[in-house]
Amino acid sequence: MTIVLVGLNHRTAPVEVRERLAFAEEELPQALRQLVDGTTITEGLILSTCNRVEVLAVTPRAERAAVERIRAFLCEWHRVPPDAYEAALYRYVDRDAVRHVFRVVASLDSMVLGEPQIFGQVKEAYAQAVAAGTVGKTLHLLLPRAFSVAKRVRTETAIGTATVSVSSVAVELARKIFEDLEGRTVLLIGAGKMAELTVRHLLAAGVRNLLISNRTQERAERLAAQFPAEVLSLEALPIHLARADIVICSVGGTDYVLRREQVAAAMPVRRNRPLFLIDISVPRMIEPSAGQLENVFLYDIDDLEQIVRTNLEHRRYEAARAEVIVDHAVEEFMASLRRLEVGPLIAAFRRRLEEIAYGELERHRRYLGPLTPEQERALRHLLEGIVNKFAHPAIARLHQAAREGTLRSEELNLLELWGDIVDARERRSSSSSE
Amino acid sequence: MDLLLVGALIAYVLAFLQLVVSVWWDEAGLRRGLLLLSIGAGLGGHTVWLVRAALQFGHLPIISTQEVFAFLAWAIAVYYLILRRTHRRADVLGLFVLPIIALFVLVALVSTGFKLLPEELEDVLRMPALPLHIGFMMLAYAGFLLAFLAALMYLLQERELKRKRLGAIYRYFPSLSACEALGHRSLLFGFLMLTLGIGTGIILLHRSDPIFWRGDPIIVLAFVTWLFYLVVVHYRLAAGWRGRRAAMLLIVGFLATAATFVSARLFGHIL
Repeated sequence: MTIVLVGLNHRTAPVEVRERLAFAEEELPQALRQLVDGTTITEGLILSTCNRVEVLAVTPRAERAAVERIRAFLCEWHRVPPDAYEAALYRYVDRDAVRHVFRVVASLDSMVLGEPQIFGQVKEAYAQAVAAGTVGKTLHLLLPRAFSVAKRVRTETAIGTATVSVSSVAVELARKIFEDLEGRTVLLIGAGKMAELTVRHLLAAGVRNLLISNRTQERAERLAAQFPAEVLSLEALPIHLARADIVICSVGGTDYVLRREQVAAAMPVRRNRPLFLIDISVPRMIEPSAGQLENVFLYDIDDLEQIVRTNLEHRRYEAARAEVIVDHAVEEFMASLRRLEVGPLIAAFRRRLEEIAYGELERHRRYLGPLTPEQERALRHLLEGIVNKFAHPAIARLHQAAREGTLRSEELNLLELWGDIVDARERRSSSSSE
Repeated sequence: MDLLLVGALIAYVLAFLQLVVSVWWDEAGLRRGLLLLSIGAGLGGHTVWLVRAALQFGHLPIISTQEVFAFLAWAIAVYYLILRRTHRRADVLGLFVLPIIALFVLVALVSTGFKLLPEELEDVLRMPALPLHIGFMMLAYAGFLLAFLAALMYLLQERELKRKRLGAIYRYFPSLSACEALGHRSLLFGFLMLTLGIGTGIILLHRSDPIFWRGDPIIVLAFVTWLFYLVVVHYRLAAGWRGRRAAMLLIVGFLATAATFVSARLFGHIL
C-alpha cells in the first residue's frame, strides 16, 4: 500500500486555477466514487477549500500509476485539457504525503499560519469520504492520527493564540481594557473600509451602541442602515465624545478631528472611565499627545500593525516548534503503517508454507500405514518445526524492514515471487473492506 | 500538630503550581475545580490547626509570631476564596496571593510557638469581643492586601498598554477593568472590616485597664489609616476616582496598614 497525494494550494496556484479545480460539496460523493476504482486506487479523500484542492489516495500499485490516475481524474472531472495545470500540481508519496497531511491539518501549511478553520474542513472532507465509502484501513489510520497531531500542536505550542489582523488586534486590546464589551459604546469617525471591519468585529464581540460621525452625512447614513447606529454631525463630536468607550477614527483631512483638550474635557464627564482611541487614519486625525492623558489609550495604525507583526513573528517561532512535533509523529505513523501492512503478509506467508507442508504429508500418507496418535502428533511437530525454521529468517527480516520503513524495496519483491501470497493478500483486503 | 500546618503549606504550594500551569496553558476549567480543591484542603488543615491551638491555650492563637502569621495567612486565604466566588477574574490574583499565604505559613512553621503572656493580658484575652476584633482586623488586612495586589496588577497592565509593548503581562493578566473591580471590591471589604475591627477595638479599650493601653501611638495610627481609607472610599464612590492614581492610593494605603501592623508587632502590642 502506498499513500499518494496530488494537489495545489495558494502558493502553487492563483485563485483562477484553484477555483477551476475546486469541488462543490454536493458533487463530492460522486467524485469520490469515480476516483476510487478499486484497482489503481483503493482509498480516496478529496479536500477542497478556497486555498487548496488536494486528492489523497491509497494505491496497492506503483505510485506513478496512481499519480497519473489522479491527474487524469482531476482533468476529466473538471473538463480541462490534460496537462493544463501541470506546473501548479504538487505530488507527495508515502512519508512525504503523510507529512503534508499532518502539516495541513495542523495549519502549518495555511496562508495565515495557525488559522483554525482548516481543522474543521479536513474533518468535514473525512466525514464525506467515509460516507461515500472510499475510506479504508489506511486512511482510517491516517486521518485520526492527523487530527490528534493537530490537537497536540495546538495545546503544546502557542501557534493559534496571537491575533494577526489589525481589526482583531483592536478588539483584543479593547477586551484588555474593558474586559466585557457588552453594553459598551463605539464612536466611529469617518467611514473607511478598515474602520467598518473593526466595527463589525466589535459588534460581534458584544458592543451594542454605535455612534457614527462623518463629513458627508449620506455616507454615515448608509453605514447606519447596515448597523443599528446613531448618526452625528462632525461638529457635535466633542459633546458626544464623553458617551463613547471606544473611538475608531478613519477620516481624511488636514486638521485633527479630536484634540487633546477635547479628550481631556470629556474625561471628568466620563467619571474617568477608560477611553480607547483607535486612529487608523493616515495622516493621523487624533492629536497624538491625547494618548498621554490618564485613562486614555491611543493606538494609531502603526502601533496596531507593529503588534500584528510581532504576533506573526511569534506564530512563525511557534510553527518551528510544531514542525518538530510533526516530524516525530510522521516517523511514528510510518512505523505503525508498516506494522499494519506487514501483519497480513506474514500470516499469508506462513499459511502458504503450512499448506505446502500438510499437502505433502497427505500425498505421502498412504505409504506410512496406520499411525498412532503419538506418531501423528510427532509428524505434525516435525512439519511445523521445519516450516518455522524455514520461515524465521524471512519473517524476522520483514519485521525489521517494517520497523525501519524500508519494506518497499527488495523484501517486497521477494514476497511477490510468491504469487499466491499476493493473491491471498488481495482476497483478504477486498473481503475486509466490503 | 504542626503536621496540619505542613499539610496546609503543601496544599497552598500545590494550588500555586496548578495556577501557574493553568494560566500558562489557559485552562480555565482546571483553574476552577482543581484549584478550589487544593486551596480548600489547605484551608481545612489550617482551620483545624487554629482551632486546636485555641483550645490548647484557652484563647485565640494571636500572641506569638507563629500564631499571628498563621492567623493572617488564614484570613488571606479566606478572603481570596470569597473573592474568587464573587469575581470570575480573581483567580489570577492567586499568582501573588498564594505565595504570600505559603510564605506566611512557612514563617509560622519556623518561628517559635510560645511566648510568655503579661498577666494583665490574660484578662483581655478572655473578653468575648476580642475574637471578633482580631478576626475583623485580620480580614481587613487581607482585604487591603488583595486591593494592593490588584492595584499593582492594574499598574503593570496599564504600563504595557500605554507603552504599546505587549508582553507576558498583557497575555496573562486580567483586563484593566477586572483589576479595577477586584481592587474596588477588596477596598470596600477591607474598609468594612477595618470599621468593624476598630469598633470592637473601642469596646475592648473601654472595658480593659486604661493603664495597659497608655495612649498608644498604634491606636492613633489605626485611626489615621481608617480616615485615609474613608477618604479614598468616598472619592471613589462619589467622584469616580479610578485608574492610575486611584491604584496608587490603594498601594499607599496598604503600605501604611502594613506599617501599623509591623510596628504593633515590634512594640509587642496586639491589634
